[in-house]
Amino acid sequence: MNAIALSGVKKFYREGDGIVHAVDGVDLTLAPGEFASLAGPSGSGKTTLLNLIGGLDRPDSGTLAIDGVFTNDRSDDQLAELRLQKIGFVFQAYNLIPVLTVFENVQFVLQAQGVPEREHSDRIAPILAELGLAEMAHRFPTQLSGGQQQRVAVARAIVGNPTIVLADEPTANLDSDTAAALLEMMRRLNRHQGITFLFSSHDPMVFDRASRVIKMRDGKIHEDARRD
Amino acid sequence: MLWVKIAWRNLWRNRRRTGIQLAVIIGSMFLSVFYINFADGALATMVRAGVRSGSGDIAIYRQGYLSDRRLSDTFPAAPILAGLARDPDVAQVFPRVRVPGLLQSAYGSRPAEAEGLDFGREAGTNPLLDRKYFVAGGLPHGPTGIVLGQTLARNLKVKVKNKVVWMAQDARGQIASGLFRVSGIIHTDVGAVDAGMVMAPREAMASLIGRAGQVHEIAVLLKDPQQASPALARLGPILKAVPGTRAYPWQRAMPDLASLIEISAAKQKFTVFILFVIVAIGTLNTMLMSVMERTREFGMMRAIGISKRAIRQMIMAEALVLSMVGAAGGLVLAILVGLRTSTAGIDMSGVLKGMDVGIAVDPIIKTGWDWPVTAALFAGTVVLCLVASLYPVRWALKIRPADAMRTY
Ligand SMILES: Nc1ncnc2c1ncn2[C@@H]1O[C@H](COP(=O)(O)OP(=O)(O)O)[C@@H](O)[C@H]1O
Ligand SMILES: [Mg+2]
Repeated sequence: MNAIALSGVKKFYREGDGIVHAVDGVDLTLAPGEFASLAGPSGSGKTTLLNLIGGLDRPDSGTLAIDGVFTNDRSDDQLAELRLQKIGFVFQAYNLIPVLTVFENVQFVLQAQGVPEREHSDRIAPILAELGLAEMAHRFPTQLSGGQQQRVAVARAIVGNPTIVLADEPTANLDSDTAAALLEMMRRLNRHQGITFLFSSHDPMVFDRASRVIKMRDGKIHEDARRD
Repeated sequence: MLWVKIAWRNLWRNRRRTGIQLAVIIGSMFLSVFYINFADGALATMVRAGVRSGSGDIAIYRQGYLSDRRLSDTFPAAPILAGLARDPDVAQVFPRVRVPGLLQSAYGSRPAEAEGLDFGREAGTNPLLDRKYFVAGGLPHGPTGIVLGQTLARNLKVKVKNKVVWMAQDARGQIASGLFRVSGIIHTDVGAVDAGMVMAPREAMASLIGRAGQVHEIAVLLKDPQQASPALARLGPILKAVPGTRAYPWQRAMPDLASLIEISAAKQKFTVFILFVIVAIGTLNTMLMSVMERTREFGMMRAIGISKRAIRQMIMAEALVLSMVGAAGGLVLAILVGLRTSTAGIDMSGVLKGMDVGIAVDPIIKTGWDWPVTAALFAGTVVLCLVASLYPVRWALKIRPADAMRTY
């Protein structure tokens, strides 16, 4: 079973008088455990495609399946539940909750999933340790560097045991050393826990480490390169 | 619980805004509670004075007297007084005769209403006989001593110990008159009392109108004024002793005072309503700003799959914390202030000066404690803030994560 399966997916946006074909007929499958990246210039439809896969947006045509579950006919609430249980998100702008500590930001997902409170520490501590955040558990996001904040976002994305992590330009705001370290950590999580990763990026460093680079232009996939 | 933690910390994210809204809630809760308690005290004082100088908690009249005030509508007092004396809940009874007429001095004459009362029974309870209102003389001792208002005394140019003549129709329509001596002059700031009231010994007045031993009114003061309804019910058998008599609660006997109290209650409700509107608008505004500032945050939450319900709970928890802290603060403030104003009282003589409510009232108002209404105000404030947060909740739920998260 594929982790992600798209067939004939299109998404249009109305812009002024015209129509933007943000995603224009995409067929794509990702096997479980892939570490793949979408590549392409700004405006080529990477974010739109990730949003469609994550169920944040609905396609105008085509079908989508996550982990074997078709999402087209799901209600908003069902999609939210699917995201909560199966998909982790990492955003370019980190998007941590500023009033919560590192620990609490990660805990937030477990709380929403309804994981009993007594299990939270046991679930969170190893992840923070793995991502080198153990010392910072009780700091607030504003007390962290960008790289550290993005590591917290990764911790938040994986704490709920998702099958897929979608990361939209996760390294765009980071310097190259920090970006490299972050990618290493995600690669480790990918190898050890079998989580499927799909990035979007225009960072060559991401492509170097990806097992597959899917190049987009004008909402279409024009090259799909595996490097195993 | 993480939701409450988020709510609490978010409130302190914008200290200024939260502080202002908290002050609004504290202030309105304080004002509402204090105002209710003040009115409670002021109205209680007024009713107390009105009941004691007027109809009593319960008034007994001959049927029809309340509406027509016919001089001939008297009834024998003794059988009813005897019955009332055996009722354990009755504190005091004031039998009275009311005679409109003309008071004459060597200088001239003025119309007035004479109230024939038992000075011995009423002294110490009827506020009009309070020492503090006497500007000259005192209570009469003999059967011809009378007390009159200062304006009336001035108009007639009479002083204490001067002789005056009271002239009136008797119960059969004949002109009757009696010679009295001024024993005391009172000044109450109540126009009707100062310019037109004569208090005279009851028997003298009753005899003057040819109704010795009879009265127009028996004012009954209860040990517990709250128990007027059961007391009224028990009066039935006692009144049977004199057919044609009826008992009324003070609200019926003094409809002006009753409607004054009702108007005050309506004013209170209106004031509280206005304060609530201010709190509602303020809370809605505060919560909406707070939610709008966090568009990205809520977008992120929706993106990672947080349910609408959880987001609603998060925002409402914020409103709940805000309103509870505010209402509790206002309540504590009102209690602290009330502890003082309920014992020491507030001197309203400045405000009451020149204001004539028709009753001689002590200008030192001691605030009361209206706990049921206070509890309702607390609950009302909290519910109101929760309701006011529903619009911000709706706004937050409309955020589309795909839009909120876009970084162009
Ligand atoms: N909500 C929207 N409304 C209108 N146009 C949009 C919207 N979202 C994306 N687009 C357009 O769709 C195209 C693809 O955008 P996007 O998916 O963000 O590309 P990328 O992430 O590769 O930069 C762009 O031309 C963009 O302007
Ligand atoms: Mg993008």
